[in-house]
Amino acid sequence: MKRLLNTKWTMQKKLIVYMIILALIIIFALFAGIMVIGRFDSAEKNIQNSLDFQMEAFEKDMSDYFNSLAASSIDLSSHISDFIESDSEISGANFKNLTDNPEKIEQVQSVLLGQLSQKLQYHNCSGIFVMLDATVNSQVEDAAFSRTGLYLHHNRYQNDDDMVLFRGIASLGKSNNVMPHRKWRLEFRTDLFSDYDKVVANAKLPMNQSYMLTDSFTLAGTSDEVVFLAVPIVGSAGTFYGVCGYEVSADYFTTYHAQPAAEKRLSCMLLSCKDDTYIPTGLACSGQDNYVEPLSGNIQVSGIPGKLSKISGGSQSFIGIVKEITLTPNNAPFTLAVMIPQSDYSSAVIKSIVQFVLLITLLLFFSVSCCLFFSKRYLSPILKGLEHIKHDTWSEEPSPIPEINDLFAYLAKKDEDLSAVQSELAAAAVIYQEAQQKYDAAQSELEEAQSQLHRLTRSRRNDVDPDNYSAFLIGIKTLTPTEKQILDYYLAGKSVKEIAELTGVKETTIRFHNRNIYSKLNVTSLKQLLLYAAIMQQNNEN
Amino acid sequence: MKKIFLCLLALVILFSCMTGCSDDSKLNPKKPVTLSMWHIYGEQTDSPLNQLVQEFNATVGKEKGIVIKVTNMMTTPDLKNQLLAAKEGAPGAPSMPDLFSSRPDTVLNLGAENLVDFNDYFSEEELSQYVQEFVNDGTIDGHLAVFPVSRSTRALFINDSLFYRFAKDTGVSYEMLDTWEGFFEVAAKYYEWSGGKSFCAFDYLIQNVEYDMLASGHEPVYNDADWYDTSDPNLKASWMKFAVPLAKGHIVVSDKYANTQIMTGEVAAGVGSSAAINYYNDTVTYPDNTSEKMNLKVLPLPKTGSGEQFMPVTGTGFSAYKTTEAKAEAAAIFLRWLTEGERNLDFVVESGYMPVHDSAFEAIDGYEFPSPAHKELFSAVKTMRKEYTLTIRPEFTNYYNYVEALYPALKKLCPALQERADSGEDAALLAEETWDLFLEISKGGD
Repeated sequence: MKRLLNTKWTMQKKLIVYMIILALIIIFALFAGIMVIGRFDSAEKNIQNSLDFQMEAFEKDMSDYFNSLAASSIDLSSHISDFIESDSEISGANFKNLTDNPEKIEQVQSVLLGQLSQKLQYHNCSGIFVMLDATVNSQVEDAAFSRTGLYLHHNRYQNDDDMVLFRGIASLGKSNNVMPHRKWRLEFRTDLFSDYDKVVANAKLPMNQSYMLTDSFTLAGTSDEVVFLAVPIVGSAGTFYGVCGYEVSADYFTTYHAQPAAEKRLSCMLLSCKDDTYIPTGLACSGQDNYVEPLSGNIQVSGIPGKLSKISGGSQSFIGIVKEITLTPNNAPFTLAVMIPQSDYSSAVIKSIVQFVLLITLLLFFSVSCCLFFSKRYLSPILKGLEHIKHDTWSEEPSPIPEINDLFAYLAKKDEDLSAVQSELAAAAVIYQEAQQKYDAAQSELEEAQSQLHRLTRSRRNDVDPDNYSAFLIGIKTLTPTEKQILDYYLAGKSVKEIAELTGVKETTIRFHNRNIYSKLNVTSLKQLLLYAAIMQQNNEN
Repeated sequence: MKKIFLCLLALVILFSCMTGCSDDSKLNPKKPVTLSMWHIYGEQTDSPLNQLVQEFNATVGKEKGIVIKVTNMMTTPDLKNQLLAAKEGAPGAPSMPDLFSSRPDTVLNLGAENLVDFNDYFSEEELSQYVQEFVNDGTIDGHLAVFPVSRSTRALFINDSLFYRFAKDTGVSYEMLDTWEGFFEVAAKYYEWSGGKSFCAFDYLIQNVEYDMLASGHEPVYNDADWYDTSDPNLKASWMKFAVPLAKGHIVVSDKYANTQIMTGEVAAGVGSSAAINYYNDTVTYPDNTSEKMNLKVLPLPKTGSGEQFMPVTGTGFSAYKTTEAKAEAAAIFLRWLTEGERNLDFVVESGYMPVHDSAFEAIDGYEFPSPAHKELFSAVKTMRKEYTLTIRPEFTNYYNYVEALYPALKKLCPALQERADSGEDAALLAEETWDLFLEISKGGD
């Protein structure tokens, strides 16, 4: 800065440089400020924050939803168990009597159908089922896998009161206004029921610990991908009556769990993890306003849990965060993934960089432009004023800057003062000249007088008595200082009156001294005294 | 100063170029537009259209910035009802979809002005390659509001395993099903053979009555209420032809769709949409859980007399709800893609429909069908195309209100009539009761 101050740049150049430095400082301070308050975070951080929020919401949604479904399933199981145990014909050890007993099966289904349809209407799921450990005909092929029961199914996109009968007695369904599904079958098949053996094995657990989520599978004859929240139905004596629970289809989940999202294209998935490999459960959703095709196949996650990771599967890649969640006591923890397409992430990062660079460029451009513009605008009247002063034309037109006008006024006053001084000087010169002339005239007169005095002295020298003169010279040395002073005044041509004024004494005193002087100098008159004094002076000069 | 202004201008232009490089298209691959879709193709089953939607999203959609999301699949009447509820903003109704299956009567209800006019997105040359009857049928008030993607017809579906045993015991044959007279004769024999089971369930009974009128040489007369003029004696004559076997229980009005009654063994045959082909199970399951292969047989609709026969052309097209230009453009791109040559053929064959391009009809001959049942169906369709006249019936706003009132009322009435017929009452008189019911319904279906 000191160096800058000492450079011999023009005022305009210096001002521009100062202004640019000021602009840079302001821009730096601005960015420092917005960085500190977090208003200009990197795209990565913004996306991380947004996905953290989405994850929190999705995690709560999943936790609440499956908790509620588990409670309903346990309640359903308990309810059916109570119903069976209330009928001595089929309760406990008599339950095996249900097999090959179409009339009893129809009776049981007719009771359960109304209850199940009612429960389905009031629960947020796509289907409900009860699979009893019995079959209507143990003699048919594959009867070992066949199980009687009821399976009611909503339109997979809608949770309304319109439902169809996927498994169960068709005539019973129709009489209850529940039409058979297009791919209806009379009974379940345990070999097509995902994780059936695991669900059965849970019968040994306490009721409230026996629920689990099955792996997803496609319902036979449809494209509906579903998972069951399944609970074993167990009697008070530990008799296994069957399995019941709720169905959540992939389409239902997508429709009813669409997340409110800040991100344009959000994908949320529930994944299961087996042998370090993530597998889609089929339950996935998007943001409410946009749909993103979920990842398929085995899913790879590379990154730190809780931080942005690359999540890829099939031909798609996403950037998002994953988090473990425990949904049931009988499933390994699931993994929640909340993510956006990698292309969206890349675009956001590039956009952020471009915006930053553009903003800096614009700020710099506008700063420099403004510096140039304003310095020019600011200095031009000053420079113009200086030009006026330089060419002494400042009085021709006023400046738009008051300070310059003040300077002009100051200069005008100075000019006026200078003129007055010059006039006084001229007058003084005239007076001096006149005085000089007078002085010269007086000097001439003095010289003339002295010449006359000399001539007179020389002419009177012969009239002087040498003895008197010698006495005079001796007497001079005897004069007192006062007398000597008075003598000098006489020699200077002063009168008695003038000498009295000069010495501050009375005339009579002067006259007293005169008598003493005359006596000591042996003269009788002032004329004689002055003559002897002139001769003495002339002799001293010679 | 001038230099600064020019720099600023250049900067603004540069910024504009960076933020909005675009052509006429309103679509942007970086900001895909999502179209919600409701359709009727394969509800409850594995939908061929859903598979095509996935293919579109992964290819053209990805390239152009379009994501189609199927958010509802249901039957045509249900879809129409839900559309109307959505448009009215009824409590609990879902949001209006961007793209949906629709019929001309749906458009009349929704208002053509609220739907995208596909004339704005397809050139005349493009549209000339579609079957003109389909294009004309979808044009309402000058708007091409229902874009043709497929059309269905009606056919006779039969459980061949059951029919084989029945034919073997009674000597009937499929040839007898060529005409309605033979059909009703077979139905009567089946009723007797099966111990009182109906032979066939009808999905759209009133349409069979209407086509019988046409084939008998009588154009149906409609009244101002969008329903039939019941004073027309030809209407009653055709009605009674079906009403007598209906009263006897030889035939029934289907519970909803005939295929569910065939797969439970309740009936041996069904008359329904060609699109039902995807809904048939491979097997029939009886109440004792025994089952057998169905071996689905598909035959043309029985003929009326020996005159000109008419092939029903029914089904829906696609309409797009008018929202943004980008969505309208996206809908047009998807529909163009869906109806392109081979793809449209694959789609219609898989889903049991007829193609919408003239040339595609000929291509069906050499097509490799996904199942013997599909081959049966398209053989029947081919026969009808050859021997029958393609006919699209006019659509009216309130027509389906009458239909939806008629079928449940008949289903409620017929079991009692069947009992009375079995007990010896005159079937012709019982059939008159169905006509009385028809008249009753005709008084106020709206």
